[in-house]
Amino acid sequence: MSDRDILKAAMESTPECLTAEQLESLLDGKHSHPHLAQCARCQAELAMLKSFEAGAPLPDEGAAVAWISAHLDRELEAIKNPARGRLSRPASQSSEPRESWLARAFGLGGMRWILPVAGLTAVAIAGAIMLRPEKAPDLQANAGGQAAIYRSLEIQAVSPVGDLQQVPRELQWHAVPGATAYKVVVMEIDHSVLWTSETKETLAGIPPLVGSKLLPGKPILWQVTALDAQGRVLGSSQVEKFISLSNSSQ
Amino acid sequence: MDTLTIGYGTRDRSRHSKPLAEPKGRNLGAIIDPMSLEHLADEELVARSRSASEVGEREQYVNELFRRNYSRVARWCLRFTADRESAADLAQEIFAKVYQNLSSFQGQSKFTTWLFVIARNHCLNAVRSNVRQATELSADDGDELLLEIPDGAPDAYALAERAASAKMVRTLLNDALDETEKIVFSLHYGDDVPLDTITRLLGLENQSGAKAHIVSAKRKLARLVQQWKARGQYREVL
Repeated sequence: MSDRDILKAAMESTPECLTAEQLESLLDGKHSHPHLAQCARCQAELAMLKSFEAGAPLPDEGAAVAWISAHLDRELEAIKNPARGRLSRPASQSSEPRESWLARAFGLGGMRWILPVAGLTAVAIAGAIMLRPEKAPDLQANAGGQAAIYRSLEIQAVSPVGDLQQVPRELQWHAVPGATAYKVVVMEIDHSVLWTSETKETLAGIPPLVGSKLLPGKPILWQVTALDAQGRVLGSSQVEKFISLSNSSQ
Repeated sequence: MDTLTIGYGTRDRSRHSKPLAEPKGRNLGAIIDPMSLEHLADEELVARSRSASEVGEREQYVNELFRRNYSRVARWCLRFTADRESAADLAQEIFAKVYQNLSSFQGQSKFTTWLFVIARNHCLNAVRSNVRQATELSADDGDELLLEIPDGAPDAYALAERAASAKMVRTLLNDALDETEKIVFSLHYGDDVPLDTITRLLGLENQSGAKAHIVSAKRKLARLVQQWKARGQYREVL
């Protein structure tokens, strides 16, 4: 038996080990449990639970945490309905051994047709380009009489932006054509979310509870996203930043 | 749907059982004022999502519950993987698991504790199945941690066999190591968590992170084992 096996056996959970619920009751440090003092495993579990519960990211984590949070928000429907949506998975994490595209094209029996088809497609596209008429077709506004399609827009934030004498009571921005709702997110400087809200107006009142978190001198970020009637994103504002210089409300 | 066990074993935890409270004001319409969700505790969001009569209403509660926990899970996964794409993958899988098993949350703990158990188990399983980790573990396996029994000692084999007793090793650890060393030891050798992951998980700020604690712990253990051997304490402990 190697030392590693010995240690592993020693670290296994015993019947006396604490449950997650019991560990939770020890989180505040005000209570103790006799078993905890003598069990390295339970101490490790409690340390992990504390790490999980801790609100603040480490100094170099903020941007990545914000990126992952945004990714999760984008994939929310796929997370909830994996059969309908595709759980996107970065190729770097694929458990399958990776082959080059060339190897895949030639190596898989059922996919051998890809290359000839791709070749024929390329020839067809080249032919179409060479034979295209000199004059571009006339532009037609609202062709086909269908609903207008809006391209991704940047929403102009109005306030609050920059240094403020008082804590703001609301967030305000310019309307976006076609938008039926706006989603607002207020974040700490590390992009951890303080508050989100959805509204049909071009302003959102900041609840007192959230306002109390906007401490003087503390930089706060916010961003608004416009949604259409189907919930599709029409555009977003830049991430705006403001700092309240005192804790009275505007 | 199977009940997802919260905890680490299979013991009866009914003594901790506290039924999930019925939500107040159940007659909500399908459109909910987002601001009203802000003031609801996680546990109440779960309860309301269960009692919601319409799918859209239910999903609003779940969305709020998930969104307020994105950062927490993202941070956790990031500390396990150290790269955001892999962490996003893990986080997605965790939330998918949470969504599938939300009905098994009984309110015996805070929602975040329940979420922690899922995230913990998921990430530890991912770590264990990672081939790179096996390489790392075998690479630092050459050192003898506990016994350091000199070659030719007449009772070396018997001593090693006795040292296999988990009880003795636990006593050793308790006697020799400080709290951080015990935690690092437990995570590294008990749960196979790589040292750099432990450094991030525990937020260790010393230069060598968890590795320094392992080195220090090994030294202390070796010293204590020698003392025990000199005093013949092995037999007493066993």
